[in-house]
Amino acid sequence: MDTSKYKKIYLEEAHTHLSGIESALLSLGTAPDEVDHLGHDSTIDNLFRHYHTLKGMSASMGYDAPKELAHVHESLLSKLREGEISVTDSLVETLLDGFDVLKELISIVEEESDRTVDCTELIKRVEAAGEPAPEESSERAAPESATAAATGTSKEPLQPEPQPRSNGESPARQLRLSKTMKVESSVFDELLTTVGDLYMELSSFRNTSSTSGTPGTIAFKDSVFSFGKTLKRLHTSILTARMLPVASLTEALPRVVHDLARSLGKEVELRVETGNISLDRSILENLGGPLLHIIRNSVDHGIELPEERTGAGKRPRARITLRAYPKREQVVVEIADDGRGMDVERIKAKAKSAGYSLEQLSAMTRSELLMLVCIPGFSTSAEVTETSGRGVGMDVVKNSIEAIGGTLAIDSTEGAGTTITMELPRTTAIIKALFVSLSDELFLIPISKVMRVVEASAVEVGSGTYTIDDIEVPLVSLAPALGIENDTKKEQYAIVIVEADRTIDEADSGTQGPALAGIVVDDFGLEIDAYIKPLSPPMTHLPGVSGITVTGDGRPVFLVDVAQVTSSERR
Amino acid sequence: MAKSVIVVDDTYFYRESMKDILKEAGYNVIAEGVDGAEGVELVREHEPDLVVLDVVMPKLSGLEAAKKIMELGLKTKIVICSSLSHEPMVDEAITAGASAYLTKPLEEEIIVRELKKVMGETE
Repeated sequence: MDTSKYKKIYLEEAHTHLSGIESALLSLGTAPDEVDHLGHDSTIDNLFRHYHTLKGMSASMGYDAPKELAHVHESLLSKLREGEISVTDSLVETLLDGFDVLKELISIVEEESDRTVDCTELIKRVEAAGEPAPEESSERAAPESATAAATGTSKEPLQPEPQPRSNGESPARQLRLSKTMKVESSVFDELLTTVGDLYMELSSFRNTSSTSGTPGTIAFKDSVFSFGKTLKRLHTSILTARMLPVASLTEALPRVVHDLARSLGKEVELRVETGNISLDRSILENLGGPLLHIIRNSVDHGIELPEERTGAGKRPRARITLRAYPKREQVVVEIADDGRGMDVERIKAKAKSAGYSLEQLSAMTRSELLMLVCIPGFSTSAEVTETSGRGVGMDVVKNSIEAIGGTLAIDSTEGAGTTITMELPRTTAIIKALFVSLSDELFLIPISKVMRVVEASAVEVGSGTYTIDDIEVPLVSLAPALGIENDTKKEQYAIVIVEADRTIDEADSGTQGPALAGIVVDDFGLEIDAYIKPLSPPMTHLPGVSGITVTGDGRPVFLVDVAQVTSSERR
Repeated sequence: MAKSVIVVDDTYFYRESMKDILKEAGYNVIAEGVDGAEGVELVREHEPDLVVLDVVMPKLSGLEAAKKIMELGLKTKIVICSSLSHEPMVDEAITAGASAYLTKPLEEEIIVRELKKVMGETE
């Protein structure tokens, strides 16, 4: 068989089977004693089928390592299915470890790498796990499988302790999105249709310009109007194409929670209810870190040990629920646990030692008090643990969420649990922008408009024009254009030379080339990728700005509307 | 006229490779199914000359599907194709009504030879 042709299909299918295996294993692991015999059967059947197919496909492709490993798993699953052995925690761990290696073997195939993984020990362990264990089966298994175990073998049961992973780390340390995107074909159909419409409008422009052709005629205005409408549709189509389901980000979470809970001796069940909610790819990318942090916090600090939970009258197995649902134009992502909740009195005490007065604290609402944990450096060193204390606190989480145009709120009831709610925009506009300053205030100017930045003396600026490449460029001071006062007197200013929209008069006079203007600011800074949020009322009335972003340190910064700032001054 | 075939396998990989082999051998693949139940329905609907069934599939296994297809009383020949190859399984398949039992990995030559035999096309 021509294997190269099928490799792509093999890999796609293998990944589907791997994720099927992972979720089936985790459901075996989370509730081994809650599932009845029938429920068990379907999970085990599924697992068997996944390993079986992986083995077969790998054999067809001549990939011996994954074939061998899938084969021993298939045999183990077959014994589980026949009731010869039963599900135990250590069996699940063996299967999960086996899964990690299987996944590794498949990525070796994918990368066409020369790496090899020695599976000898693992294969022995998987085979050993298939030996009936009389003690375990008398506890857990159904009566008929106990007899099967008894007739099995007289050998000592080989149930080695799960070996710690070589570096003690779970393979799923980060939430990552796949590099490739699946886009519904209808999206491309719509894109193509819209581009077709743009061409039609272009030809209508050509018509207008070759005949009567003066801007301002009804035909011209008509063309401009429908051009604008089509362009907007194109924009919407592209934004739609960038949308990814929230589920694509959360795939790795069940395993993270499983491994973390296990290492802390806790029992945690993660429920993911994200439905078919989608978000812009860049928003999802930036949501990974905060989400992981919140979940780790929850398992580490929020959730109690099983004994403590039982003592408090709770189920020993804690539950974390991750939900995503629409709310008007936004999407809400909510992480709720049923752990110990947050201690408001303790937060108050900490806030006091951090410099808050009693008066301030008593004036704060409960939710304001809870939000104090988002103040930089608020978590005390006593709380820093291996898991969550990586120098990243809730302040960073809150800032990251605000930087993608979202908001974060905390609700918590002592003894009953904590809920963290994030409201996020579905789409976002990321643009490259340049920081400029007016005394202490920062603003952003879209790079797409910036031709260059020059420094000029107060005298040059005072003349009202600046000559660059023999072109006299009109200057606009940013402060008055935005309606703010800036009394700072400086010797040197920065002039951002921008491409300005032509005024109607200039267009009429037939001037060629881009119209330039210089925006005078105190200084300029770095170029950043900014997530620009549209302004909401009453900010929509602010002159000279078109959007807002929040910087990494939580500071709101306005985006300068270059067209408005330059044209208002020149007209 | 080219004989009509339906391929039933839960794995896209196998459906694709089996389809390629069949087309190459001059068969007309008219439909494909992803589980045993769908396979039975497709056979009922299209009454093909041949159906190729995988064994390990969701909903209805290939063996169960073969029994149901036999109950339809059609002229459709059944061929089982699986990576399971122990004898009781083969016996069960033949008892269920299969005309041949092929094993994976798919070997084009063997498959074509066996299918021709089943379809009475041996030169």
